[in-house]
Formats: sequence, structure tokens, C-alpha cells
Amino acid sequence: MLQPVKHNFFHRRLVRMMMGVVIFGGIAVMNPGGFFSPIRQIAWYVLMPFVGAAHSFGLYVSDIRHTLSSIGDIKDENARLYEENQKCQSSTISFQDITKENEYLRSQFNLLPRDRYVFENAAVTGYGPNETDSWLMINKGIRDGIRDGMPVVVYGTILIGKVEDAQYTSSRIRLLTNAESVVNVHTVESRSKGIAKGRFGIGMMLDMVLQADVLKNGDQVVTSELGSGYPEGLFVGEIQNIHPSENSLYQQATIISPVSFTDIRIVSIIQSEVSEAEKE
Amino acid sequence: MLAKYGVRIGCIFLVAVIDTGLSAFFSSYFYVPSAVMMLAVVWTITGDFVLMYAWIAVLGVFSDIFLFRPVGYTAAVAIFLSYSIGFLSRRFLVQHVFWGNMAIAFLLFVSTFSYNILHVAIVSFHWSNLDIAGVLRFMYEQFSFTGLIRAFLVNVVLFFVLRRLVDLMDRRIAFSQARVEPKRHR
Repeated sequence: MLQPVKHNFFHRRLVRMMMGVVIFGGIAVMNPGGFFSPIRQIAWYVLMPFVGAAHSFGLYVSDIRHTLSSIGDIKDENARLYEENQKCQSSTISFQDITKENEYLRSQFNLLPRDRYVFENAAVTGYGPNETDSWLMINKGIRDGIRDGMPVVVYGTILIGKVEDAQYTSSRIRLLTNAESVVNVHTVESRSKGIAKGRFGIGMMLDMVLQADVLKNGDQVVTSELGSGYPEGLFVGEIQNIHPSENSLYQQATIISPVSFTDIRIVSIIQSEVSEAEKE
Repeated sequence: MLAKYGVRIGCIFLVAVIDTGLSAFFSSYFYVPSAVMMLAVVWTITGDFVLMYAWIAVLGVFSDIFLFRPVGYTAAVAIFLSYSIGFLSRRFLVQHVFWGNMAIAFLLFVSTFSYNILHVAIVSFHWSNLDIAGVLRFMYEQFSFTGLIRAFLVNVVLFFVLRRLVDLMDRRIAFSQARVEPKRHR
């Protein structure tokens, strides 16, 4: 007579699955981040060249895709660029006047023109795969003087985030679109103060702006002098879609960054601000 | 046995590199192709949930460590999805080539959709102060069918590449281990 096969309770598929979900879910909730840090450093140290190669391939594919998709728009784009070029030429002339005046004033006060920040440039080697992750990896780390909390910019003054996890030869940058990112900002036009918050990795939101302040679509947002560890005057983006907050106490708006984060190849880390004494 | 372990660890490293170096270029809003998830699906379909259980857990934990996520949650999601895929695949076992491929495509679509929904729900809940209703509302607002289809198509490519790779390596290991014992005549 055939005997029914007895399954151990813990060997059942459903029980195994539930045990796995509960155990690993529990670990995730407790979040012992520091415990895994050495493993993470070793893994990144070993795999960094491979990630870099994969990233370069990804950029190559992305370039081809952009080229193919933009063929139809080239004519319109050309007309727009021509118009922008005309505007730029006219503003260049006025800037030349201002530059000459600036040089004259500096010579009068014996001030030499110097850069405002001390930068360390680094190449981007990887991205968080999901937009909700909102981080990118660079090929410079503690060895190169990078420390946690240093602001990261592109094109000199466009803020994109800050160093969150500096390792020996690489560092992770938390982007402004990260849900945990909060930056004190103000608008250039009306100097309305507020905070720029990351929104699930897909964008940024200007929040906590007083109802009495005047906001307009297209206003430029820069970092303010108040806290949050960023130097004043770094460009964050332009505002759009202004609306009152849910409780109607403040105004909110969407901030559009001028850079596409997946197209960034080189970033600059602000290591320090040049002091007045050093400038002189 | 050692070679098999080596191949599996190599596969884990490979998918971590793909996810970090390449996936961001194919992501759209919340929908991202995931090589980690596809490897879990390949292991479940070619092996078995019970046999691959421990490896799927290791895959999830390593990907969390490598991708700077709260350690454990990808393992939990991968185990849950692997169980579900194994459950469905045993019931959708089809001999016909076309319908067999369609069944696989269906499983991949389900896993792409579920992985992204679970990922967003858990990560948003973990990293923001929104309640579950707020997260769900936001996910509904941001739903993108194009993004989902793009992630699904990339996942299909990843699945077939990884499956081919896993099959190839398994066959090579089996071949190298199948030693011919010459008969000794007394």
C-alpha cells in the first residue's frame, strides 16, 4: 500500500516563501546599513571597471537613440538655436562692457580675479537603475579628498546633488531629485525663500513659499545662504506649475532642472570655497 | 560543485553590473528593466523555486548591497516573485513552441509589472514620509504604459540572454563533469 508522502512543514513552498519574505523584509525595515558597508566597498572596488565599461556602452547606445529620435526635430531645433544665438550675441556685447568695468574696478582695489570654489572633477561611472533611487556613482573618493556632504555641480554652477557615501576610490552622489533631498533655496527675481524637495526621483518641488511672495513661471531658483550645506547662488532650476499647497498656507511649484541627469558624464565636486584672504 | 557556485556568483555580479551601468538608460519614470529580477525568473524557470531559493536570496541581498538600497527588501521581493512565477509556470506548462513563448512573455510581463509596483511602493514608503494611500495615489498619477512596455521589452531581451548564458554554462559544467570511465578488463 502506498504511503502518503509526508512533507515537513518548513519544506513547503508557500511556507518557505513566507519565511523568506518576513525575514528579509524584517532586515530591510531594521536597515542595518553600516553593517554591510565594508562588503559594499569591496564589491564596488572590484566591479567598478566593469560598471564603467557598461556605463560607457549605455551612453553610446543612448547617443544613437537620441540621434535617431531627434532627426525629425532638427529643422525646428536649428531655427530655435539660431534665434538663441542672436540673443546670446547681443548679451555678449553687454557682458564685455561689464567685464571691462569689473577688471578696472579690480585693478583699482588690487584684487585678482580668482575662482570662487576649489573643484575636483570626476567621471560618472554608474547610475541608480530606478529613478526612485536617484543616485550616481563617480570614480573619485576619499583618496582624492572627497568627503560626505560636499556639493556636486555641473558646468560650474548648476547644482545636481551632494556626496552621500564617499568610499576610498569611488563615491555615491545623491541627486536633488532623491526623495530625501532637501535644499534651502530662493528665487532670483523676487528672492522668495523656500525649500527644494526631491519628488520620488522624477523631479523637484519648490515648497514652503509664503503666500505673500510673488512667483512667476520661469523664475530661476538658486541655493540660499540658509543652512543645508550648500554654498549660496548655485543654480537649481526654473519653476513651473505654481499652485497653493494642500493646506493653502504656502505656495508650491515644480522645479525643472536644466540638465538631464542620465546624460551627465563629468561632474565637479566643490571641495571648499575660496576664502576672502585666499582671493586677495 | 565549485564550478557551479562560481558560475552563479559570476551571474550575480553580471546582473549587478548591468543594473548599475545600463538599466538607467532604459528606465522611464518608475518603470525600469531589472536584470536582477530576470535572473531570478531564469533560475526559477530553468531550475526550481525550492532548489534556487537560497541563491535567489543571495542575489537579492547582494543587489541591495551593491545598489545602495535597504538590505533585504529586494531579496524579499525576489523570493515572493520567484514563488509566484514558479506557481504560475507549473500551471502554464505548454509544449507548443508559440504558446510556450507566449506563456513566458506573459510571466515576464507579470514579473515586470509586479517588480516595479513593489519596488516603488516599498522604496517610496521607506524613504518618504507619505502614508500608503499617498504613495498609491502618486503611483496612479505617474502610471506610464509606454514606460512599462519599454521595461518589459528590455526585460524580454535580458531574459533570453541570461537564459541562454545560464543554459550554456550549465551544459559546459555538466559536460566537463561527465568523465568517461574506461572499462578495465581483468
